Amino acid sequence: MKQLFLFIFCMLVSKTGLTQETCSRIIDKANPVDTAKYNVTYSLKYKFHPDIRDYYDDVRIVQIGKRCIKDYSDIINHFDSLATEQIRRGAESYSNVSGEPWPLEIIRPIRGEKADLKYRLSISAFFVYQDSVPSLEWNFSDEGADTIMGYECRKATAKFAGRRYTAWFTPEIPLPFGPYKFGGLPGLILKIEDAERQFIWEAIGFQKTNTPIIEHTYRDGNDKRCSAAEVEKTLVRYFKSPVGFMISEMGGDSGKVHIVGKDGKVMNNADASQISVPYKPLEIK
Amino acid sequence: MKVTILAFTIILYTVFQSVGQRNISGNVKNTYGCGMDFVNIIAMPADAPKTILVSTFTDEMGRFNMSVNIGCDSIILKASGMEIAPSQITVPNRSGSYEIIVENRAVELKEVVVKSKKVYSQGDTINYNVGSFLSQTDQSIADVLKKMPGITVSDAGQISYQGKPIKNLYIEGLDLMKGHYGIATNNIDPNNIATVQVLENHQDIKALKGLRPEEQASINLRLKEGVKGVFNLIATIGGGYGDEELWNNSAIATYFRRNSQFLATYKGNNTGEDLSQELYSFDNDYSRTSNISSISMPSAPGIDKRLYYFNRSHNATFNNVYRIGQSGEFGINAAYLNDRDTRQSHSATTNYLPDGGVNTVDEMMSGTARMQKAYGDLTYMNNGDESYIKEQLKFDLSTTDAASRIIAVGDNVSQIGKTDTYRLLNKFHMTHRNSSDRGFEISSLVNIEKRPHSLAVFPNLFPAMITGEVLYQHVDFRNISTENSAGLLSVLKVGNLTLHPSAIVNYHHNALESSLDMMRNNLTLDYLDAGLGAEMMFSTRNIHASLYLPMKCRMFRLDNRLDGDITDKKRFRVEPSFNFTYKFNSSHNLKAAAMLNYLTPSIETLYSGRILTSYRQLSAYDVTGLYEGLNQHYSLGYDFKNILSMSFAGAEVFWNRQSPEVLYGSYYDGIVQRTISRRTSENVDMISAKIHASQGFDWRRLKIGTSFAYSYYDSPLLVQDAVVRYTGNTLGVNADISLTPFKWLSVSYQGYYSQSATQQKGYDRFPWLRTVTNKASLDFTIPGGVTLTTSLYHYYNNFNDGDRSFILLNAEAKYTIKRFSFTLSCDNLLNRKSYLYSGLSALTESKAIYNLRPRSVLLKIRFRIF
Repeated sequence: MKQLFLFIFCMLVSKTGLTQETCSRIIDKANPVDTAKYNVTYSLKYKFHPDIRDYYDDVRIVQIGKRCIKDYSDIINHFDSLATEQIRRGAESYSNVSGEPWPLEIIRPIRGEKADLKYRLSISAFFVYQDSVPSLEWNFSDEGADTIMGYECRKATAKFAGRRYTAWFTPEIPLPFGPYKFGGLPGLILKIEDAERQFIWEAIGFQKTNTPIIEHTYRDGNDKRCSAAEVEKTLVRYFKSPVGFMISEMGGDSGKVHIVGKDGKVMNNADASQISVPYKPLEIK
Repeated sequence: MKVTILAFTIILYTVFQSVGQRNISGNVKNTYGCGMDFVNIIAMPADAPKTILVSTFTDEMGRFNMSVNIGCDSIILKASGMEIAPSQITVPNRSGSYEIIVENRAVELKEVVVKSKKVYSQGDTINYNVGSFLSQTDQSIADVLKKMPGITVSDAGQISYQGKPIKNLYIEGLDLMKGHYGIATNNIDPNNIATVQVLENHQDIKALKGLRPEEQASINLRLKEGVKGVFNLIATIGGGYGDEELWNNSAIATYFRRNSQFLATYKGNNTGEDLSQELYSFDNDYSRTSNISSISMPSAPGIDKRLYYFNRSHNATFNNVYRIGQSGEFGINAAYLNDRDTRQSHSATTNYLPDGGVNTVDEMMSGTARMQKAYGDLTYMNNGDESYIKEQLKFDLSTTDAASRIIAVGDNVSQIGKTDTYRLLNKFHMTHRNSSDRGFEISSLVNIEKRPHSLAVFPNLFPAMITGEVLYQHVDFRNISTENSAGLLSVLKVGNLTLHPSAIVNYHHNALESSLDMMRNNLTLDYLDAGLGAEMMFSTRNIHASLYLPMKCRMFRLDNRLDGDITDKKRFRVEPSFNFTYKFNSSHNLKAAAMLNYLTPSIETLYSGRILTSYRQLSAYDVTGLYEGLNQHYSLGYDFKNILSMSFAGAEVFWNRQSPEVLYGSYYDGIVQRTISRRTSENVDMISAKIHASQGFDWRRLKIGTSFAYSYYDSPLLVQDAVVRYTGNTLGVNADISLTPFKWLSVSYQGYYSQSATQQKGYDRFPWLRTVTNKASLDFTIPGGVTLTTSLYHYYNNFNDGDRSFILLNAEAKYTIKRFSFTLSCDNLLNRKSYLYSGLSALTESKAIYNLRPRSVLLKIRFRIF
């Protein structure tokens, strides 16, 4: 199946950013790990570097269960489920994910300091790794309350992995959780952003539910088990030359990669390999 | 000294710090003494209870521990959690252990539901989220489809996407209905559907994927999870009164699973709902025989059929499909219709003659037609990746008995007509392809059809030609056809260019027998088409071009069995067609097509013995050679869509030229009319243009659709033995708007404006005929859950004498409680008795008054049995 992707994969690349297709995966192997009691939907605006002007958009679902919390992209999940259905009906190939959702999925325990993460880097294999979930030292602010989704919110700040975050949480929903690894506040985090506004999560939906929290095992067996440090190193290498990275991932065969510049013109692969994309990781260790 | 001061300061600071830091611990228990897990504990100064000092959570045993550093007297400890009522205690500001007792009570939360995107795309699939378009009053999926941008639905249930009819309607990927999908669109409950998927350029034959593009879109209805595998039976019973007792009943049973699907319906009414149109097949299985003669009945006025249709109708349909193995399916579709239609009209038809004179026929008609119709289709299909096979056996039966009385120019005419049709059709299609895209394709069609029909007329309006007071005529039209082709896939492949050769053998046998007094016809027309064809295709990512060149030897034989005359004709014909598509990107698409073909002689225009085609028209063809004609067709089109902004638009221009060898026309003599024919070298030209646009909005579920069509034609017309040329211009503008400003209010509007005029060469143009049709409906829900619907119909016709505008009003109230839905409707509130309609086509002007259904009241109860 991977062969199919190699030929259809396209990139739009320029010096200020890149548009890449995230591959859909077949999600017919599912293992329920918990039952979600609450679903929080966040809109995530993010960019790879604070200096980049435009944001990418994603819709994130945070499922809160009794034992664990899962945070994933609703957009990617939607296209994965469509691809699975297409394959089930006998299609030979399927389309990739539209848009540029954040290709990270995280399942973390309610209590505990280790999270299981999966990062989907374009056509490359999945990175499957574990990372720590630190307890954050929140400083509460007495500033005037904001209202999000009709809930009155309080403000708190904390430092985490080299960034200073401001969170808006609501004591009206006494769930000490939030998106990504954030939590530990006496109420659900409805909005959180870093000081450089590179990552902005804001809740747009909250529902009681009774749906399973699913851990997927992807059919192609291309999961790469590695450490968080290795993932970060790979991402740095990827953004230094996304095209070069892609070509090397395909065994150095540049004929399989089709590069289109933002002006719509096909680019020479050697020139395209010179282009790097500014990147600043979420966690600056 | 400095070192001593510094050390002293550090010691003092440490002492004060340890004195200021209070360690507060404790546990949280419920009223039963059980420790509560994961409870938030917030510490706040008692004198400033809005300031949060610190927070923590209880562990599995309900224990907590926190450090507080503030200089107030006391501290508030507040416990909160999802399963407990918030509770707080005030404790002194010093280290200590405290117990907080809480009450078990779930927190009541306000849920915020995220709306799904109304429309989103994935490759060539456009997904419409049904919930985003659904209103309380929508009864069928057709009602919801009409509100989706880019989609239109006809009254018969035919769905069009971007102005073109769709190819297939699937339910969860299965083609349950085959061509009769109008039954599904008009009956499936929209509440059962999660998503409507438009599959653009969907090649339904897997073995041809990537080899042959498909221009028509298909639609797949994706069901909600809870609906799959559940048997549903919804029944409606209704009774009321107009000028007679009214009834309207139905039952719809559905069962949808991944491997089998079932839809059965029964409907019956005498309230003006046309049940025959649901049974139309949208497959191109056209009938190969037609009525040579027919009883004259009041024609249909250009208004909603429900307003003038005096009926008694019943229909029942049965549709079932099973999946067989990985890629096979077997389907059964059957239906029966019983219909009685009574109509009355008073019309005047004026024909303009070449000498400037006119011939007017004034007719007062009343008639009743009883129709019974049945069809049954058996379909087996195996749609594998490499091989495809489809075998379809269809039968159609219908019988129509009609009687009418006409008062025309002083004559009191009675007519009785009967038409039976029997038809058996077998279609077979097979494709096989190997991994290198080579393979073959075979298709075959066999059609056997018989249409006996009779017409009896009293009195005889043609005493000079036919003796007797009563005219009785019997006509039998039979057809046996077979159309076969076999081709190779990609026999030659050079770069992006592929060649598909094929062989064609078509044979048609037509027989016509008629008897009217001493006048008889007994003739057969056979023709054979045999030849070779080649299709050259050029395909890249954005461009697709194909040129099809069939070269055929065409042989005709006309056998007039009465006099033993046999006429043969042989011709070599090339009928090329060319298609070109350029896909700029996912939004813009350009299409062009050109086609040339020959018109073949038809047995309907080859008989020389007279046939009574209507009570006042006698036809026979003097020019009885095997004449053909040439037809050229050119089109250029452009499509645009932007899914994110829900914008759909397109434009198309056509030019069609026909060069017939024979011209057929009429000779008018008072009330009677004779068919005449003459050799010609004149051309018929028609140019038309169409622009359509549809825009959906997130705001208040607004959809605005509009289309503009213009056509011009220049044609010869044979009248009174003279050939005249006439030109015509028609312009039409269509608009439809739907809006749901509030949850309790929704509005829809459809408007149509048409303007047309014809002109005989050398004479002044006829005045413009302008017609306007406006339909508006307003649904609003009043407190108590009752939905009120008012529908307003407005028709305008500038040719009408007197009142040119005509208004009709209907009202309906609907109340739903549990599984029951009650609808009280009142049609024709203003109790309008008749409708006047004027029309103009070619050089014929008509005016007619039709009786309308009277004011009526109907109560319907709809309930779910399962």
